[in-house]
Amino acid sequence: MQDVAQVWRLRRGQPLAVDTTRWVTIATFFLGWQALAVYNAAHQVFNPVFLPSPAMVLGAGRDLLRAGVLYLHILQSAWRLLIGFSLGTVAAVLVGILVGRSRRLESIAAPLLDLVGPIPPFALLPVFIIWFGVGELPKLVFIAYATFLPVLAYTVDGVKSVNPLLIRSAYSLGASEMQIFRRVVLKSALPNIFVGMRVSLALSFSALVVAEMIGADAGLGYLIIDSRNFFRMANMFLAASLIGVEYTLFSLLLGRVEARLFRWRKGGYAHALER
Amino acid sequence: MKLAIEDVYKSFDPPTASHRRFVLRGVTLQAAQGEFISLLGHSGCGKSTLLNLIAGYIRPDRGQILIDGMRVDGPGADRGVVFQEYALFPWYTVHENIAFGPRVRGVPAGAAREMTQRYIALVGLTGFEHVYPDALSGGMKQRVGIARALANEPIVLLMDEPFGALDALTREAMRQELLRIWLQVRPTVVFVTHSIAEAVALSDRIAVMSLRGTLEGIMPVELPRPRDPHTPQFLGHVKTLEQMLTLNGTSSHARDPVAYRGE
Ligand SMILES: Nc1ncnc2c1ncn2[C@@H]1O[C@H](COP(=O)(O)OP(=O)(O)O)[C@@H](O)[C@H]1O
Ligand SMILES: [Mg+2]
Repeated sequence: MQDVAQVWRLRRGQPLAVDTTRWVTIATFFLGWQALAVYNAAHQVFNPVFLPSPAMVLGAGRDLLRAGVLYLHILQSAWRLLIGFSLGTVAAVLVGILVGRSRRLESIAAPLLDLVGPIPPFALLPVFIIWFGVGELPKLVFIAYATFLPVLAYTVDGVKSVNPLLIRSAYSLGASEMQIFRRVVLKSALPNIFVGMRVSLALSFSALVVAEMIGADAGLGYLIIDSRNFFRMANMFLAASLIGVEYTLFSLLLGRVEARLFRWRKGGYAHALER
Repeated sequence: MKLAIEDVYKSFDPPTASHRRFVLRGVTLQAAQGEFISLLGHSGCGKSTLLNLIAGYIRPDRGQILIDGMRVDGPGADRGVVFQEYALFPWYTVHENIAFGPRVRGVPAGAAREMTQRYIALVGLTGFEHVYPDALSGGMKQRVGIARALANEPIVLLMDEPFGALDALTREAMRQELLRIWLQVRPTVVFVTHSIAEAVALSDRIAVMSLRGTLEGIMPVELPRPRDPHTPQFLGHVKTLEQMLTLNGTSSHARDPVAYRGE
């Protein structure tokens, strides 16, 4: 994404202008929101409880921080996501490699995936709760499941598109099946797997919030529901924003890992021309 | 004999087909230790097929291939392969690509590094150890390909039009490089090409393949190396080979399955 923005910027010959615009836009958004909320509080265009100002949201954050519970919610959500997302990814990669390598397995797996694939994971949450109880397990399994399908599809695709010449040359260099799997198939499918992980990350976050809204006693999703019960609008906005922040951080982290792993990879639009 | 190809037949049609078209029909050829043999022939005559059979990627329908007396049954480190498309691992640096063979065969890290460094120096890539293949020119990529295959110290080195993707100048330079490396390391080489001049410049013997899937003949080249392509002897070889190939080219309709019916 950043590359696209950069290219666009350079094409228009305005290296700084867009960055400035970006910050002006963001600042205007918050100032406008603050102004609207303050005006509404004074003139009662609609019930001011419905729209707290950014300052009130920050205040709510400070209060929860002082009460010592905000960290708890933030960490609880981050931890759940990390575990669920990792479980789903690892399972999908393992299954994906098996399925991608064998035409027989693929012909068995494909109709199964066509069967369960169209069902939105969220439709199955109550089922998971009945199966795995109300504790931590159903939430983690649910997040893992939401992560699983997209990563699986991308992994299978990646494994199937390994350059067969590379496999031939690995065999002729004396590699065993296992070494070819690790050093060639997996390495070659990894960029694809990461695309799948990116797609899944958004889904896992949605799954996280939904899971926490149903029968949790901590986490940002729980904070939203708990605040609704007491009609604390500022807390709801706060929790929603923090989920956005967590998503952004996870996404950045994923991008970092990618940049590190795929140093060998260049190309794409940004590398087409030197400017 | 380091390499013995004995009466090999190969068809890509299923054995059950009523009329199988054979790409190779009764090919027999030997290579002695340290010998440089070229397979020369028109495009589509089965050069790559024969090389892939030796490499063990595909299996003959009849006949057998022996390496040091051992029957070929699948690919193995005793036969190094250099591909026209380089087939380097893009996620490994030059050093890691060349170290691949020694590492997967269990050579300890220290010894593997030392070996790798030696082959990097041999092909003239010192200073490029930590570069990824994407950043290399075609000629340099193929240097990596050659070093990677040699680092395993294979009994036979198989090269399928290794310079086919290079421009004329680089190709000429790589030809001389290969000659230098071969004279230094002295592996047994099977070299596929459709360039007559390339075959004459490099080979001890040239096996001319016909479009019927048989060996048209084997021509020894007993000129001292390096060979000057302008000498009458060199040109004489070129001419003889040209004639063998032209005669061969005119009978290409023999590949038409209909023509096999009488057999
Ligand atoms: N995997 C394959 N399946 C079917 N036909 C093939 C296959 N590989 C090669 N052939 C056929 O075998 C013949 C010889 O091919 P090849 O060995 O690649 O020729 P060369 O390398 O001499 O140009 C060609 O007619 C080609 O179409
Ligand atoms: Mg070929």
